[in-house]
Amino acid sequence: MHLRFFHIVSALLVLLVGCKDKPEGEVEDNFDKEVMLTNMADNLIVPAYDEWKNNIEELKLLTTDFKSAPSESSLIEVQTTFIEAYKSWNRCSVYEFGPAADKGLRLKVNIFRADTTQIEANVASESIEFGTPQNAEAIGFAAIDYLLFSKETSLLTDSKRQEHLLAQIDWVETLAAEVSTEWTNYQDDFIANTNSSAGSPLSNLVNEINYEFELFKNARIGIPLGKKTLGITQAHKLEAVYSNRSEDLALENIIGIRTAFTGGLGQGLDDYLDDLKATKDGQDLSKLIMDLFVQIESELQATDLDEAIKNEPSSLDPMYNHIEQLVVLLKVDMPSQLGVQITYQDNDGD
Amino acid sequence: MGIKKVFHNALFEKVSIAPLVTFRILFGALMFASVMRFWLNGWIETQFIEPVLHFKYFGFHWLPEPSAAGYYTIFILMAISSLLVAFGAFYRYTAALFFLSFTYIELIDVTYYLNHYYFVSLVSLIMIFLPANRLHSVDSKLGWVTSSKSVRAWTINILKFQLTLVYLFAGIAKLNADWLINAMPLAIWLPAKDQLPIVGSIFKWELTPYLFSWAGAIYDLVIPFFLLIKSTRWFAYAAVVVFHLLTWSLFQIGMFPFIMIGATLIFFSADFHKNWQKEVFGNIEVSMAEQKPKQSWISIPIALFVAFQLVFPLRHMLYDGNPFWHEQGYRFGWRVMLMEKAGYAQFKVKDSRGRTIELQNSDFLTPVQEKMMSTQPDLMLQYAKFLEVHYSKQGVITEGVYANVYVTMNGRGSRAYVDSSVNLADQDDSWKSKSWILPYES
Repeated sequence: MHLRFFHIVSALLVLLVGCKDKPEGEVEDNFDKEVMLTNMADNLIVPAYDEWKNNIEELKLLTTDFKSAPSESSLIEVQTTFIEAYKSWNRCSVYEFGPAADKGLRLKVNIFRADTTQIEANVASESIEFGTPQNAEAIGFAAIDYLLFSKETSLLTDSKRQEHLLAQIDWVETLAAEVSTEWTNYQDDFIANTNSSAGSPLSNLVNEINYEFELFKNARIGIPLGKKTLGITQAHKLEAVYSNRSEDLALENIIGIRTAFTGGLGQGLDDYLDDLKATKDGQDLSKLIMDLFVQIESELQATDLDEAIKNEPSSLDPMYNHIEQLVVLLKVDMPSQLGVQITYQDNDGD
Repeated sequence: MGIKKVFHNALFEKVSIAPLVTFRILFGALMFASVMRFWLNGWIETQFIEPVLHFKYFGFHWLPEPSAAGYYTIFILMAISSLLVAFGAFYRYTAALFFLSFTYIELIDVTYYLNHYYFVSLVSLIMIFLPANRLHSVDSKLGWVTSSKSVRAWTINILKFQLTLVYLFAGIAKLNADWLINAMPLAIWLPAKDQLPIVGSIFKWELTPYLFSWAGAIYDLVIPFFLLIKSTRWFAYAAVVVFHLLTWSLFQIGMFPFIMIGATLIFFSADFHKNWQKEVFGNIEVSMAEQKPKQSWISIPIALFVAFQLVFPLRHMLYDGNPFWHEQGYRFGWRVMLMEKAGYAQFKVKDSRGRTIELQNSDFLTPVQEKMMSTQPDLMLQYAKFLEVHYSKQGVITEGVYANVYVTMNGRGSRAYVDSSVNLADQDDSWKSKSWILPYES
């Protein structure tokens, strides 16, 4: 009896393995997940973090110089470099998995809010403890934006303020250096794991593209536009509200998300969707997604977010509508075609 | 043999207790493993303690939610009672305790509904009434129950019936165009597994999902009968093992494959079970003196249970449209791994002046809850009502709660799912058809 059992099992295995060499019925295949992940890691993610890190390092150098000899011109230099560093963060913030997720980078680097009372208290006390709940909204780029651009304070003459600015920048620089180093270690694991299940690099990429795009929709556009507050606009909740560069930063952010989708010049999720022949209503899903990205980017380029929100919020409706359409394609159609689940935790299916 | 005699034998014939003893031990052990796995995965926290709200089962809104300490207490009770069931200690009480604690936890949040949890609840309910502790148990060893080598046939047949039903309904549910003609959803799921060693490359062939779909449907439809027939039993069991291990390695389906591999041993002959029990427990002498007289009345609750089990899974036929789409009458029907479905739900709370608040679901729901709510209409209703209460408390004069929902099913492009002009907070859940779900256009 037992023998028969093993005969059957081995027969089935032979059948499965034996099928391996059969070419017929094979899908024409020039897409390879490992090639895509390699491209993502080597050509996009690691360079994106490096660029961010380099920008922050430069910002730190210039700020140190500024502190030793404060002047209008050196302040402008610091401010310009800060915007560049901020932009480069917004291009890599979509990659919140692996080392970045371990650190919880988004919540440390860019939380969109600056608790000015707390920041002033930290300036006055000449000390700050990063990572405490009390300082949760008094750290990172939003705080630096306030310190550098707030018109009510004087950075030029206040050495305590300069000291605090440097401490803030130094802290972000440490994070950037760490994540950059850790990625070189994580890279191999990232490429080697071509699973699609929860927690795999592919699943992480798809999920974080969605998470970041919802942040784009809600935190960068929707909330200031009053979408969560009965249409009462909240221009003060824009990203980088003191430097008033929110549309530039939002543009970098959506370019970052689009790049995470296309894989830049190499293979990306769009190629994967094409390989799977994913369509919606007769059109290639990858093209529908790309068209919307391009559409939103061009609308964003033609916009001054702060002014539009203050004076004519309804002018943003067409763009917001396109953003809503894109959320559906990214969150519903794409993962479903890829066999990836939108859920950030392991679970029992059924 | 007359039909009456067949029924009589199926219920009251004296048969060996051995299969029941195996079942008790395996079921208890597997439940213990399941409970520990759930705990160690941190799911007590993430699935029960952390969420802001829980989606209730229809008819169970009254069920109180335990505190954090309460959850842990219940899981401890579940773990202990499952172990004691395996050992057959205080069996009737521990079986009842396991059934109650397990089912209570299941009823807390419909988000986590799984057919296999329902199966566990049903089996553990049945087990309360089975004399599975009459042999090779702590109870019989210590003389708390009279040892016995035989039981009435119904005690084993009802488990076979329940297992047969699971496979049969799962098989019937696969007899639809998407499964058989389009090989959906396997045509999506299998290519995603192309990285697996050896079998991975096969999953990219266009033919493979068809093979798997048809094999799966045929497997579900015939396996219980091949398990019932003696001459095909070993072959069928080999198929059970291969099938469930395959699905386990391919999909995230937790403990279910192992529960089925363990439970289907009930189909084996008494001798098969006696053999290993003799090896492990030795030869135990049991006085054959007293045997309980047959209890004819038991056929009535059994008939009711069987009738319910046969009819309840079919209730989706009372609703118009595609049950995979509208999911009315979908649960408790053994429709397992049948569709790839994903959704996005943008809820809007409107105030008396027509102004709106757009919801960010992650403010209130965990990712799993959001995922489930976005494709399941009864959850949408609960969410809408929750939002209305929440924002009213915040001082918003709410006029209604509306939703734009997009759902994709089996690889077709996303479609609008609900009528976005309907105030969902105003709709009550009931057995009636939900007219605000838009019909499915393929």
